[in-house]
Amino acid sequence: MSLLEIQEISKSFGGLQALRTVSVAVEPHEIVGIMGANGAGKTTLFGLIAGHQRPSGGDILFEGRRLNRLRPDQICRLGIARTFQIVRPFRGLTVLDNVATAALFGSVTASTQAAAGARAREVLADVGLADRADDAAGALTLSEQKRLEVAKAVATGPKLLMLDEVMAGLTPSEVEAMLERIRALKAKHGLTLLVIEHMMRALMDLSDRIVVLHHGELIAEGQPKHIADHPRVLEAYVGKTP
Amino acid sequence: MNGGRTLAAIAVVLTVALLIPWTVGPYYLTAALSLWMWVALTQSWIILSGMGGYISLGHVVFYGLGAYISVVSWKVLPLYLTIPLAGLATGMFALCIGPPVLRVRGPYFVILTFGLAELIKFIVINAETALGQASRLLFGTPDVSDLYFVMLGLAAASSLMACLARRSRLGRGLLAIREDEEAAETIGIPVAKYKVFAYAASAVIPGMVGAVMALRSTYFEPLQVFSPAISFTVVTMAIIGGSDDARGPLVGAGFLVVLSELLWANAPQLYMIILGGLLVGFVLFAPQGIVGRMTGRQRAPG
Repeated sequence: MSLLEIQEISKSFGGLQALRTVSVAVEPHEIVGIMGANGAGKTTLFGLIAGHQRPSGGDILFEGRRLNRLRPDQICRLGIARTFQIVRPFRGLTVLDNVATAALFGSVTASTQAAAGARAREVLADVGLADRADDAAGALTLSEQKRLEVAKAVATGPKLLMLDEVMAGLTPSEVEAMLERIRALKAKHGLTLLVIEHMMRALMDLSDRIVVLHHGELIAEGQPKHIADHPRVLEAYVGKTP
Repeated sequence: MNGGRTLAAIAVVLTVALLIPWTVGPYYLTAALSLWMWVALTQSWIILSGMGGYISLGHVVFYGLGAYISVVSWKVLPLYLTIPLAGLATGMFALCIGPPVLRVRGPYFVILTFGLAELIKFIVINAETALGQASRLLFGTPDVSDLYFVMLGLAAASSLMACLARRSRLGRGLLAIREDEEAAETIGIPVAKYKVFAYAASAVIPGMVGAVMALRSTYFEPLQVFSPAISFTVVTMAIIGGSDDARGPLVGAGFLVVLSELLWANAPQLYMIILGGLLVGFVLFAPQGIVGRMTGRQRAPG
């Protein structure tokens, strides 16, 4: 059984069709990259899976369970965590408290505050933020806030981790470091990943499989090396069929 | 602050508070009663509004309802039942109205809570008129020194509740909700449930405080027990003291009660002006309050 099954899902906002009968299946321990231009429907797809919006049609199944009518907190407790493209740290809390709060709730909940703190410190070390633990989250740089987003999501103890452009705005060396961290986290926690990224090379490098969205439709799906010269992808990106 | 020193400070305050009825005259006893009343109200307010960031400008609604319940059940129920009943009733009331009321946020929530308190006030006024009750008088209410001990107990209970809430999962969840409700929901915090629970938790104590104060004043006047000034004072005390944990309301209430006693006696016309000035000053220059300022804005870990 697939870990996540998206079955013919659609979403429209008023007259705008953001997603049109998109189907994707994600197997356990797989890294699936999601590509597409701005407005292709990538973040909408994350919003539907995480329960921030409800699909207009179709079903989303996680471990065989239908998610359509669940709230975001219920979905998180089932084992799905996401980051936000525009980072949303709890600015007034310390970096440690941000992550400890996630550890206290989420799907694998820490039983005590001390246990939550310990798990938070471990995750912070994994994303390279151990030395910023006691600073206010609002004081972090963008690169650090992106890592804090990842740390919060990982601390909830997910099976499926959805990363929304965690490498956007980072320098090439920071991107390299982030790729390493994502691979290490996947190995350590046995994660399955859905990754939205504009940086083509990073996404090709990271993903086992890539799906391409274009104006709300799934136009291609396959291994990274095949996606790069897929005719419909070239058409969408370059504008013409070769 | 280290645990030993905190315990010592609590012990000293409680000892002094318990000795007050035997050592001071009626003026200071009344002032002390009023201090504990404000401590109890403000501590209960910070659970939802301080930790959760849902600023209520209608905390008086629970106080007024508690007072009304105690007046209506005067000579019908024994006092040891009336006071807990008032708390239970206001808690239930918050549980019922919480889900719709807590759907709105920010300034809309502030205005809604204010309007709700006014609405309940006029319902009570009309009910009293329909019942043919102009203003009720209560005869044979308990002695002030007895009520003092009940109020001290309520202040202690309210402080303890705020302390426990701050350290619990509820407190952690509320702080996250205050910072970013959607992000809080995304990490698995049951946002709607926590908000309603915090609202109900913050409604119980003011219900009981209102019940006791109705006995203290020995008459019932809806315009007085539902006065918005009570809500404003609670918010002011929380802002001046700091509303992140239980120390803030103690400092805020202590500061304002002393100030008001000094000014009422010497310069009553200055009191409201100074109060307004202080509120503006704190909001602009020290929004974290006296306690937040002194502790350098650091939040206690855990």
